[in-house]
Amino acid sequence: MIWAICKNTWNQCLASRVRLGILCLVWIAPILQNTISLCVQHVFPEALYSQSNSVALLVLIVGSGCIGSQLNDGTLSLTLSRPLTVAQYVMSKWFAVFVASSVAALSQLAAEVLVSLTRTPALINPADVLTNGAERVILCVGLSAVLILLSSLVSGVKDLAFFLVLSMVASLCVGIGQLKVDDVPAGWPQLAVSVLCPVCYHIGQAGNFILGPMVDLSSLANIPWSVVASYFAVIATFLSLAIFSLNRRELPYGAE
Amino acid sequence: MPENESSLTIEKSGIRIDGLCKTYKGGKVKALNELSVSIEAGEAFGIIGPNGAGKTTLFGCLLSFLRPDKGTITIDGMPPDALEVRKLVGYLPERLNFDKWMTGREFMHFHHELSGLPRDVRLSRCDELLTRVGLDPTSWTRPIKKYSRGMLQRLGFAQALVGNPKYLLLDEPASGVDPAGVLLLRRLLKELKSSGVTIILNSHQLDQVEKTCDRVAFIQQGKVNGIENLQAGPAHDTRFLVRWTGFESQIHVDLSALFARHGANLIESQPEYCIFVPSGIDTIASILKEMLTEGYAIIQLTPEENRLERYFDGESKKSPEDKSG
Repeated sequence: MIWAICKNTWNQCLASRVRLGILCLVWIAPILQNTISLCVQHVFPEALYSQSNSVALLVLIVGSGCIGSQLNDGTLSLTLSRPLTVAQYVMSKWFAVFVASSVAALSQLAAEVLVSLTRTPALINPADVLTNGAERVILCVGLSAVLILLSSLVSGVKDLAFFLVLSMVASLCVGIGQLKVDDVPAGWPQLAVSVLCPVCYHIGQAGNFILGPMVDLSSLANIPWSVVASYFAVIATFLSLAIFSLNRRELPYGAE
Repeated sequence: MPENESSLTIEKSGIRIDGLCKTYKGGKVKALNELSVSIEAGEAFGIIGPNGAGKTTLFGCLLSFLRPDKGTITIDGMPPDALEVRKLVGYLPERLNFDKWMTGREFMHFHHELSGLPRDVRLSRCDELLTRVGLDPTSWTRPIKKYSRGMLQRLGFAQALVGNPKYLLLDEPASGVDPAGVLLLRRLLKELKSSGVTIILNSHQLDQVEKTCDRVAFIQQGKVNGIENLQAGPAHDTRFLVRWTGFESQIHVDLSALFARHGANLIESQPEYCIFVPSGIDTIASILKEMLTEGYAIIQLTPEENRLERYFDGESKKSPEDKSG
């Protein structure tokens, strides 16, 4: 781990006012929503704590372009001219992104708990809070690895677009996979649906898992260990691919 | 040290480039074509050549940013991408792409830390380098985005010196620098050279290369077309042009003999001017005095193009057949 790279990544994130502004908006939106529900509308919100989508957004805002922008600006070559390996660089970037996004996600949870404590203290269950916090960190760690790979493949913040397109394709596959045979005309469409839908569904589910590696901790006693193994396999694979991709890449240099 | 061991050390030190080939666009553009050159440790080596000759590609390969298709590079006997080599090499890029949000001092600290150098000397060492390159202390805490081209160049040069490199690769170091900066740079390069640093200088400013380097390679079409040893031969073979008015036909003087008497060499004689190489700078006055005595109404005396300029000009004008021959 190269501490200088980690600090540089955090400072780079803080230096962009646009990024910081969007991060603040995404961070505060679910808290505001719950506060308005509890204090103004006097109704219970759908969930006391924000969902994984909100956490994923935090990771995407913090980590997008963390390597790609250095490729784009041409600063990566100067960094890698120093005595450090590409593996050290990638691991430091990953560490910086997941730590920063975890801090953002956990502080968001803390704010949500504070809001709930003032209005509905009876609903606060410490076990739920701990589980939610752990799930947030798990998602931040996994999604950061995905983002690091995408960022090493494309320059600038195109990794964000890349991620969104892949997410949409995965969701579309799940949507197609949920089609029912009775919903389509008889004949070859029904045959096609019966054959393709299960395939699409599983591809979509796998895609969703790969793009947001997650382990559900809601029932701690029954955690499927295959999911845990898959989670770590996805992280290891994505980081290895990022190192491979950067090692293979020729860095932009000079005018010729 | 035993003799065989010392010869091995000499063999291993320096930069060896052997048969380097690099192509772009699927082999359509040959940037480097069997380029071979050896750079000895402690020497100042210049690289000159026209645009697109392959100089920058060579630098990219030396820094292991680009992977050659064929051939080898060794720096102190190790490949250029070895971590040990990166500790030995400092480089100033042509494109000064730095993190604009950092301050100059933060930038230096970042590179000092990346080099794995001790934290306790970071502040003093970085400030010392910034002072050494003549960067105004009031700008050290200013964001880099507010720096001028010349300031960026000085900061980049200071960054290249972090870690006391044994090899210093400089790509157009004087680009955008003011005259005072050029003089400072020249002085710094002299100091570094005298302290044993190997300098590889890629520059279009031939006078700077001539004043700094021991040897200069002329690169064209991805090949080393020739290496000029600037240490060899007369140190001052600058040509001078003398121009006069009046009627040269009325003067019956053998100019060749006149110049020969003063140990100078007449290169070219025309009705209204001549070009000569003096044996020393002090003989010019006596030559002019004799010419005036003989009736030449001299109106101009200027030093002509320097040695490297002539070399560059000569190499550029050579046809490919001449070069292959």
